[in-house]
Amino acid sequence: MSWDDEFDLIRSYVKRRMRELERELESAFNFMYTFPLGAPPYGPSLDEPLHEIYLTDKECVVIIDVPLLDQTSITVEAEEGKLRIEGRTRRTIKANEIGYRLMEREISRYYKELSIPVECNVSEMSYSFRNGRIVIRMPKIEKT
Amino acid sequence: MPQVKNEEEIEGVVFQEYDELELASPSFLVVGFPDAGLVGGISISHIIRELNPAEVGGIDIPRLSPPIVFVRDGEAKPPIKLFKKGNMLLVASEMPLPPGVIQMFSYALLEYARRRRVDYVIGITGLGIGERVNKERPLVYAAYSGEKIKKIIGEKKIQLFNEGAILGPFAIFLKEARRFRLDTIVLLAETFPELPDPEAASAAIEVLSKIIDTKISIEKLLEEAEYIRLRNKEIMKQTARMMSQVGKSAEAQPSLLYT
Repeated sequence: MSWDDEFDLIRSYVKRRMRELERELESAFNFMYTFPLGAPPYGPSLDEPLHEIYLTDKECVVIIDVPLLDQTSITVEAEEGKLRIEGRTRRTIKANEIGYRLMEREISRYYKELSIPVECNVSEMSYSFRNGRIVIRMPKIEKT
Repeated sequence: MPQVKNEEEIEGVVFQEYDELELASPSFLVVGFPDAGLVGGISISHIIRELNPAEVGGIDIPRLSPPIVFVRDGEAKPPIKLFKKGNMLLVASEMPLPPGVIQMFSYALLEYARRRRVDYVIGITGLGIGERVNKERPLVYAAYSGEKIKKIIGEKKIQLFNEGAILGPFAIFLKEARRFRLDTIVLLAETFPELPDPEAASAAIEVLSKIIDTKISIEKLLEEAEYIRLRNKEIMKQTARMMSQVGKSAEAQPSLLYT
């Protein structure tokens, strides 16, 4: 084997590695230009409401977004660091009424289970309902 | 796609106009994207419904992945639309901007505004705060760049965003406005960060009405708020993922320099 052959081998190895590196970099940064079409393949979960958790010095506040919920049907339960919220909508809402196309589904109830992020005294939990949002408040357990 | 009369590519962003586009002075470019509480997106969508502006163009970002067009009544249109009503041009986006296109898109939009001789750029966005849960009526603050808009803010008694950082496209608008000879104001409405918030959008629209001296009713927006929230649940989830990449939640935190 001549020196030229050796250099050719090195050149082709370097080229191959460069292409691999380029591909790795591209896939690593691809999210930067990617629009997140995040709905699961079986469609969005219409009956699972959005939620937010807000922590103050003294309490943990959980906000559950439940538009068109029937206020009289709300169930909120907490045990072993988990929160469970359930309720019926004021009427059955068909998916096409709220802009979903080609989907024969409807919403008649909400159901949500989530972990409470800090230690709270759930026996003192309270909740209120306003403008289609359930606001659950739990006092935090102060660590001594 | 609709017939395009004029097409310009700026910084890799394609602007298409379906008709001659002339704006009377003083002219406004009103921009809102889906972001915190979807305040920008819901506001723009409501303004379009109330004022019934003409769809005069569209904006495409060819680098966006996956490639996307929106189809209405069979006709394909770019994901970002341009509407015109009187002296106001509205930019309506059906999707949140991925972090990688924020820079190129923002600079391109400012350059486009300059070329169309826009006087004022108005951004509408949400300021995500936990305290929103305790407020029936969210407050709206303004951040600005430029002397003409400063005067308007004073005259209309708009509350200023005293201190904090602004992230995303509106940061570029505010930073670079002077270079493009544009006066810019960004309206920040207090909102739930990751829940659609039509009430916050309505508060932002009220302030916008004052600036542009045009009455925009918010009655329907408040009446239909619960339907709007239900309808926008999925886009809120997608937007929340985008915002976490941009660090949008840092806007309400105190800054290091407090002199």
